[in-house]
Amino acid sequence: MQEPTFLILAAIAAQPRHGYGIVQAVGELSSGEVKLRAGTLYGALDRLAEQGLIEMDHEEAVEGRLRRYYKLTDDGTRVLAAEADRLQRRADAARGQLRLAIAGGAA
Amino acid sequence: MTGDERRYRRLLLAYPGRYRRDHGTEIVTTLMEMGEPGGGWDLIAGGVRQRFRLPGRPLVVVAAVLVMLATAVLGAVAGSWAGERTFAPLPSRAAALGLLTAAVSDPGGDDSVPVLRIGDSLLLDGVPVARHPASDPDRIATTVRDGIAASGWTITSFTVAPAYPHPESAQPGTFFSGAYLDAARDGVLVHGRVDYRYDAGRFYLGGFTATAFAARTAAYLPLTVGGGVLGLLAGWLLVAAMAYRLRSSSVGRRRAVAALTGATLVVAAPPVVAVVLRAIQLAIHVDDRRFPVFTLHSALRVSTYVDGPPTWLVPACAVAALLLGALTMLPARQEKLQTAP
Repeated sequence: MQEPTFLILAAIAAQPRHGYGIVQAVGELSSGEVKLRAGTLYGALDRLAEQGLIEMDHEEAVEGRLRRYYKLTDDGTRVLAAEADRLQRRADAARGQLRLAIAGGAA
Repeated sequence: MTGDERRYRRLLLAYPGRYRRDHGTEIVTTLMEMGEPGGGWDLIAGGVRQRFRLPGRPLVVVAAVLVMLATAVLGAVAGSWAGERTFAPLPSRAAALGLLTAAVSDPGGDDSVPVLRIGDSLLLDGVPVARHPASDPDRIATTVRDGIAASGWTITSFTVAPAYPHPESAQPGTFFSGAYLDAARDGVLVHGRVDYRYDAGRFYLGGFTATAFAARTAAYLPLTVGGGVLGLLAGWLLVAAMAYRLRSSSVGRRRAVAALTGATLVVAAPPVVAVVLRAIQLAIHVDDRRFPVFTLHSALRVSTYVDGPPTWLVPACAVAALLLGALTMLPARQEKLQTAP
């Protein structure tokens, strides 16, 4: 799974969000590192919807413009949790190796 | 509508129509809220990507590959036809007789038909009315060659055949091959043979027979290959568009489209195979100037082979495949209603 896709799923895990809301949330979750563009965002949303990981929650008209809110499906929540675990395991494995390197260097 | 909104709407044209109807407004809203003054160019890349996006389901991928093969063949056939438009026309009957006269001086002996049109070539058969003796067969051959050259043709190849060791022991009136001759002029190629006869201790000019056909022009291969590439892309876009359209369709509708697609591919198989075989022939003989060009679109004509499949099979299947393909792409009534405002 690519990083922007992971962050998009995380952005709507706690609450449904609309397009711009997802862009903002992804920026916050990545400490400003990942700035989503509209083309990339909607390409990812399209793919995720096709895979059954997200779905539309509701629509609202604000100042005459259409906002469409997306949320995670049950499958989406499962997949996000599994991916978060996987990344955690990778990070722990890397930290383990770093600790060994430091210990070995100090000896 | 503000200027930015107008610009975004224009950029959205990169997306397929269906997708624009489904998501256009929300994308513009998002762009307006993001507030990038010069942004939105990633929409073009996104739109093109969306047009080519295929669902990963194996059946769809297999269908896409097969459809792309068929549309690539269709595109290459169209390119081949366009390429042949640039070929030189075959010589007129008068011009062909002129060539034969230059070769044998008085063609038309033995009740033969000097000029005959068969498919993409002219068959030339020049048998002299009078007997033209010569001291040796080589002289006969070079006389013919010089006559042809003098009338404006460029001799591209001239090979004298090995002399027949005992012409006197052959049946009287036998034709012996004297020389092989290739000529070219104004985009037309001639591939021919000079024969001599041996009779009562003397050598005579037997005749000059040849085929004349158009040479392959420089435009032919690029047009054919280019057509094939465009056809390939068109097939991909078609499958992607259909797959997107069928997303929200019933299982019954999807099965019907799958069945129609399968039927179209089956019916398209004979013409596709015929064109691919012709393409292999073309590739093998690409620089061979002894034959007319193996054009791809000529593989779709009524066959001239007596043995084998029925002669009308390939052209009939080509037409049927096009009709079935068009039928497959017709939207169902439910899909039409969905797009109503």
